[in-house]
Amino acid sequence: MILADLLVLIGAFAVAGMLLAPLESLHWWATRGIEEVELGPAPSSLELAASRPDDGGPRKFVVYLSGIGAIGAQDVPQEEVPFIADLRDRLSGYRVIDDVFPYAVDNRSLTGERLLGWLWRQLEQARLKNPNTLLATLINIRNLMQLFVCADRRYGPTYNMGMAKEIHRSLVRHGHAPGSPDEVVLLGWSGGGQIALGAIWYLHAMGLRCSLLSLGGMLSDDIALARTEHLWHLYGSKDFLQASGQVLFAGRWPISKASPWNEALRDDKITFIDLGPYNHNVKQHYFDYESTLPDGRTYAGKVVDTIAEVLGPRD
Amino acid sequence: MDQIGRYFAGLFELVGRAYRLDPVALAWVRDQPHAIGLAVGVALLAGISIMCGQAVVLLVNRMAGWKFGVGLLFSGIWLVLLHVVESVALWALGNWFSATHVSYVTVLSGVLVSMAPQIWGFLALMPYLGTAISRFLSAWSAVVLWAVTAGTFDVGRWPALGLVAASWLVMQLLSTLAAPWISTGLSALFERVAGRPFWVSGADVLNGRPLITEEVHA
Repeated sequence: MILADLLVLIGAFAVAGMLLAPLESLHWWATRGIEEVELGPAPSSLELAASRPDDGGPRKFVVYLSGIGAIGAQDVPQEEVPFIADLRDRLSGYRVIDDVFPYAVDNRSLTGERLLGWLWRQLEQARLKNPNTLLATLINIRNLMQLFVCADRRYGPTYNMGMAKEIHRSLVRHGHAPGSPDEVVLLGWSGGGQIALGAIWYLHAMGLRCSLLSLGGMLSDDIALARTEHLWHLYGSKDFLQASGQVLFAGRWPISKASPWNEALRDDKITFIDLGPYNHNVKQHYFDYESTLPDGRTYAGKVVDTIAEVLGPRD
Repeated sequence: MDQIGRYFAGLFELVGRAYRLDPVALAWVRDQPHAIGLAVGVALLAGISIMCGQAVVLLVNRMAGWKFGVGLLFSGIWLVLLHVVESVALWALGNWFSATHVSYVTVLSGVLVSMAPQIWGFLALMPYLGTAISRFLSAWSAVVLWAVTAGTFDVGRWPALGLVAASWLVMQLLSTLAAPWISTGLSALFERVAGRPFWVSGADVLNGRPLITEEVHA
């Protein structure tokens, strides 16, 4: 009886959480969204100086968007830190940016000035003590809801507009000169894949040509696929979470012939790259530098190699 | 106080009967002291819930305060109008087909009771799942109306389905033909009051390209 009550309670909390999930981006849009998108803050002299290309040629950027375990732009699960450092070393022709938090339209970390900031700070502490603590899944659930907001055709437009604005600001901070033909590759891990995809619609409107590298991404049939240069989907054969995207999002079903996803497939805009027997997390996953593959490379090492290969011809 | 308690008990009983597709739900309501009041109560609950579910359109349009309230009121009036048209069509078709004389109030009560599943209409706010839930609730309402219509006109299951489908088509036709006119009128009114254009839905915000290029050129 208590178990049944508990399940009802959990179900009620889950429904309440889902109902409340879109409010943050809607509130942003309703109060200051248009103003921020219309005007945008004037770039500082430092930012302007940084945005002048030294060699006059277009610059190349990789924008890393973390998975649903992230608390803030750079407050990501510990396992991702060496991976990002590795990417910086290997992708010498690219500037690797990792200062955008994909689960808040205003780039505010969960532990920042928020109503529930105290809760996220507690969970952050708990996760620091024990990275596998069950409580930390609350962070994942909260961010997963934002993924659904992003993929929703009603809420997505405002959410994605805010996210594109933050990515654009970050690009300018790191040297992109607005209007210049810089090359932008969004690298979205897990939920970050869908967030990146959603933002591409508006980044394209800003004059940016964007490609997407999805690393175990949970992708929907987003209309932004029409404005994506190319999508490489890197996945593990044991990663059922990334595979759930093709079940959850009806536009990815083969019968949805006219969906953006199936149109992109027909246009050869999507390349699937099977990395091997990777899990989504726990062990033998995309960021695992301990487990090794039969060829002697670590799991994470192979991912970095593959990304370098994909982006290689562009160097 | 006792009367209020009895009213709500009757309301929940009626909602339960509608969910169980009870064909004699209307006959049961007619025996109650506040028969039409109970049917209106179901519709009112459903209407408020649907309005909550549709509030997203208003939020996307940055409507708050009294404008938000007026927006919800307009949506509510439109919803009532559609169901009134549906009930008139069902009443006329049902009486013609069954060669009986069922009062309009009885048919209207049936249409109002069939809105019982829409009490969950607020769930349409859920990201991604909301649209599917909304469609499911509409289909469930149609099934309730089918069950209620079969009992009201005593015409059997399949003729009742035909009557419900025909009246639904009339409602959809009106919605398709009149909605653009009403939408244009409301948009013009909104622009006059708020001084800026009205984005009908979140999808229309996708055409925000001029806003973005302004930022780039700033």
